[in-house]
Amino acid sequence: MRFYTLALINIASKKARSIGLVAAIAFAVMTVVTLAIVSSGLEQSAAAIITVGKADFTVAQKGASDLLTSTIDEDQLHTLQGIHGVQSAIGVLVETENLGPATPVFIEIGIQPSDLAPFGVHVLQGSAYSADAAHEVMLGWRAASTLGLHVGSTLQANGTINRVVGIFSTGNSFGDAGAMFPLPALQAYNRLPGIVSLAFVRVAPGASHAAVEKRITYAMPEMTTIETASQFGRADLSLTYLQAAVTGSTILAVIIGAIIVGITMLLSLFERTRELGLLRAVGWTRRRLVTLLLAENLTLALVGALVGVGLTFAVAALLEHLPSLRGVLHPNYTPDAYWRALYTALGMTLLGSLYPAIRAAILTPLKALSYE
Amino acid sequence: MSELARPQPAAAVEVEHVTKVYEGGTTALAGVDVRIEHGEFVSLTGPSGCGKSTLLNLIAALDEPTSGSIRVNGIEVTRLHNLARFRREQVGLVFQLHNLIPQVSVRANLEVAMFSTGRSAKQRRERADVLIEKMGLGGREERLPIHLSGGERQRVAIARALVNEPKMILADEPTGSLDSASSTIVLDTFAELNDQGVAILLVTHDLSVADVASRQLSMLDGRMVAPDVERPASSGESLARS
Repeated sequence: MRFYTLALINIASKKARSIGLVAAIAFAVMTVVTLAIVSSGLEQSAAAIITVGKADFTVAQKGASDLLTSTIDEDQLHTLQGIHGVQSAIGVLVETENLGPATPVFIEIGIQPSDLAPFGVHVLQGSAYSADAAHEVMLGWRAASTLGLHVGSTLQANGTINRVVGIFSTGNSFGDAGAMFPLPALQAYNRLPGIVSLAFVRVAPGASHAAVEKRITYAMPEMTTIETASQFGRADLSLTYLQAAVTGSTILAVIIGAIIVGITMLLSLFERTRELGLLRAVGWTRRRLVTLLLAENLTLALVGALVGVGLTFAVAALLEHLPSLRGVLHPNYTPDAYWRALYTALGMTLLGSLYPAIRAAILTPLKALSYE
Repeated sequence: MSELARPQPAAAVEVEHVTKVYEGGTTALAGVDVRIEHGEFVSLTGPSGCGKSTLLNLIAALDEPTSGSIRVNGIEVTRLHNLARFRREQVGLVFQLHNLIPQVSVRANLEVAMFSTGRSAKQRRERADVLIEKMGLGGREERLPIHLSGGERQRVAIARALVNEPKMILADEPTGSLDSASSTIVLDTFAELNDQGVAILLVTHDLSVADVASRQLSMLDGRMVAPDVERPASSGESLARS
């Protein structure tokens, strides 16, 4: 028999303890990983907006509670367009609307028709709306498919009936799942005359991105630039808060899990005191004894991590199909989520095993053997 | 030189002026002197609480004396740092309750005592099987202890005590929880081992069990009492009949 075989036999023979530990670890892993993939999915969905416009970077209001509440007025947009090194700055108004249970969050983008091509919009069917058109809309091909609409159909949105004049593609799933309106029309519908949410900036050939970004934030301290998804929190505090909540929940889950692991292991140690004393009496060192206990627990931690990841898939699928979250939540199963599962399971197990392992190590064989 | 690799000593066990006072002030041993030669079979008797198990535990390095000196195979036990190695290599322990690990097989119970000895898994298995056969337990290698009789379990415990080839077996009431037939088998086993040169210290409160030893020691109130009684060795004859 090999050393690790003994650990496996011990795991199999203490079924209640093993199942309890695996369950505790699995639930902690599920909590942590679900939060991580949900927040990552939300971050990805939200950050997708900055990749719609095929710009070098996006400019938004600094410290907005969320990106859709960012406001840039016409004067600021003109200032931005005049900054040295800025080739173009396209102002876009982004709003959301609930179109019913199937589309609880529908993205609406207000943009001038002259900016469509630079923005990376390709009209697939029909044509673009005119600049001063009212009640005209273009649908992204995904939105058209989801809503079952085509050129010539009508879309009831913003309290009006809009004729679908074209179907477009941006090459971005976020953009293709929404609709585009003439900018003045969407501003009017939302009572935001002269306001845009974001400005998509293209840098002049030969100019340095970093230098241009620096000039913008110097000239317009109330604005921030976003080039990557990781910079998203600069303009979207809700995401920053969400990430903080995820970190806090992770720490909490690990601590609670570690306490459960510790209590379960301590109860098991009381049960196994004579056995551990016997092993010491036949010549086992403290280190070998602790190694056995850790081998047992780390094996259970790995099983718990696997079960936890399985539970995460189930819970995330459930959340994704909740009516209130449909279309909003797209779980993002990144490699980081799996690493998080692993180090959550191992972290809480090692933390929880620490005190019981020390107790086992300092146990004298004689006391252990006479334990009733 | 390693503390466990000294030249061959003059005696298997040398206990000199050993006292043991427990927390709370109870004196378990009050100046005990004992000498056991290599290959000797010694029984230690006395009423409950007289200190005989305490003395055995001190010799086995399961506990520390308050004062005095204990040498086993020339090794000063009270100064040892690597007690685990001492327990593994120098003495084999047999308890009243067999103390087998219930969730693993007979063979595995022997193998666990051989971890840290440098033997491969194959060598551990072979050594375990040799001893299982020697103890008359052939065919029961894969059984769990719960499926063995009391006598068989105690023989497994004796086999485990022997796996690392100690020169001395320390047995504390090994027949205390056995019926007479099982006790006979266990005591016969000790006699055979003694014939093969293994020194045995057998602690018992049962004088008929103590009779199997070649020399008897007695204790009372933490002291050795009466001169040693030396008897002819009992090898070659069933101890149950002696």
